[in-house]
This record gives sequence, structure tokens and C-alpha cells, in this order.
Amino acid sequence: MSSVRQQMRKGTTTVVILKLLTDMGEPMYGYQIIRRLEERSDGYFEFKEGLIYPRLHQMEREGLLRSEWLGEPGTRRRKVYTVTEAGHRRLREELAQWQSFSATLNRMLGIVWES
Amino acid sequence: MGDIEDLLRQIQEELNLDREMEQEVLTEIRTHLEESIADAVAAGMSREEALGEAAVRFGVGQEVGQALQAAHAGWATADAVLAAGLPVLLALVLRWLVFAPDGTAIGWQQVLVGPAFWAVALAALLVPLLKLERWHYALVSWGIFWMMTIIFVLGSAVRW
Repeated sequence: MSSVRQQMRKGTTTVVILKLLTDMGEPMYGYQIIRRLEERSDGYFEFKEGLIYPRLHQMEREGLLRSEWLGEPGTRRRKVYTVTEAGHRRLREELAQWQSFSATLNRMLGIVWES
Repeated sequence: MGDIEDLLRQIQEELNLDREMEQEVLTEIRTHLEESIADAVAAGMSREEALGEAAVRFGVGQEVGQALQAAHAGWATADAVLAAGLPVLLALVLRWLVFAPDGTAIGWQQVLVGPAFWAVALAALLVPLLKLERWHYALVSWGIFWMMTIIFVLGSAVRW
């Protein structure tokens, strides 16, 4: 993966996870999140799957996500994540910033999107 | 499942968390790897190929372990300070609640009717439960609280 793409992915992982969980509207576990992100990016962003967990845990510590364990001990247990109110607030802020940033950059680069 | 165990061991070697947290992290990753392998097998790979594919997709265990440790490190330290400081705080507050100004214990009857005493008792239970998210820490804290109360009240002959 190119370093620009890699840097963009790193910088946007948090907002992308928040958006996915918000759109899906149901608790999701790490493996599910990764698969959905791959589908959504159509393979453009490649994730080293293991590195999603430090990010999820960090987001949980920051209060953006809440987690709970599903499944009984002895069966396959899954830790599922949902977006907190603070997470929804962060998502709104980040989306607004992104729209402003991308509109400005497009203008500067002379990129015009056909509607 | 040899490869899964190797990968989990590499991750575990980089972690320095409390045992319960470490087990949670490893269980979450184990589930991920098992599902990844199951999906690959369902897609037609042999079990060996699926193991290899899951390991490659997951990434280097050492790198993931270090990133996990970094994600938890600051918080683990804060939790440890709180867990160590709570009994000291309880002792100080109890000392103030259980003793009269002259230093003698005020006795069970007076202690147990004080709302401040029950507020502290509740805090001893809820702070570790909600802040540290550990029910067994809450029980230990609750136990320490009552042990100190009993010692303070029964040891009324001693000037604390």
C-alpha cells in the first residue's frame, strides 16, 4: 500500500469505525468490523487485522465506544462494540471537518465533481 | 491450532496488563483468528492454508502486542494508582467517621446510623466496580472497608 494511502487510513480509522457502527445500528465485534470495512472500501484500504484491536480498545478508553461480552463461558465468546453518545458527537464533528477539508482541497486542486 | 497459540504467545509476551484484562484481550483475538480460519475453510482452503492465511492477514504478533500494550498502558497505570490508593483513602475517611474528636471510637450504633458512613461504604463498592470495571476488586474493596470498620470500632481502647 502506498505511504499516502497508509497515512490516510491511519488518520481516518477512528471516524470510519464510528461511521460503520452508527450506520449498522447494532453492536459489532472486531472481526465483523474488519470485514465490513473491507467491503466498504472495496479493498482500497488494506487493514492488518490485528491492529484494529488496539484502536478499538483506545476508542473504548476514550469513551467513544462501549463494549460487552456475548456468549457463555465455554462457548465462542465475542466482545461487541457500540457507539456512545460521546462517540456520536465525535463522529458529527469529524464528518463536518472532513467535508470542509475535502471541499477546500478539491477547490485548491481544481477538482470538480459532476453531480 | 499451533499457529494460533504461537501468535497469541507472541502477543502475550508484549503485554503487561492485569491478568483479567490480558485474558480478555487474548480471548478476543483468539475468537477473531478462529472465525478467520473458519471462513477461509468454508471458502475452500485446507485447514493448513487457512491457518497461514489468517496469520498473514492478522499481522505480526509482536507488533500487535506492542500496540495493544500502548493502548492500555496509561490507563493501566491510572487503574493501579486508584486500586492502591482506595484503601488508604478509605482508612482516612473511616478514621474521621468512626472516632469522636477526643480519639475514642463512637460505637456501632452511632456509626451505622450515619448517612456519611453508608455513602463511603457504597463508594467503596461502586468506585472499583464502575471505574475499574472489576467486580472482584469491588468485593476486595468492600471487604477492606468492613475489616477496617470492625478494627476501628472494636479497637476502641486503642488511640488511633
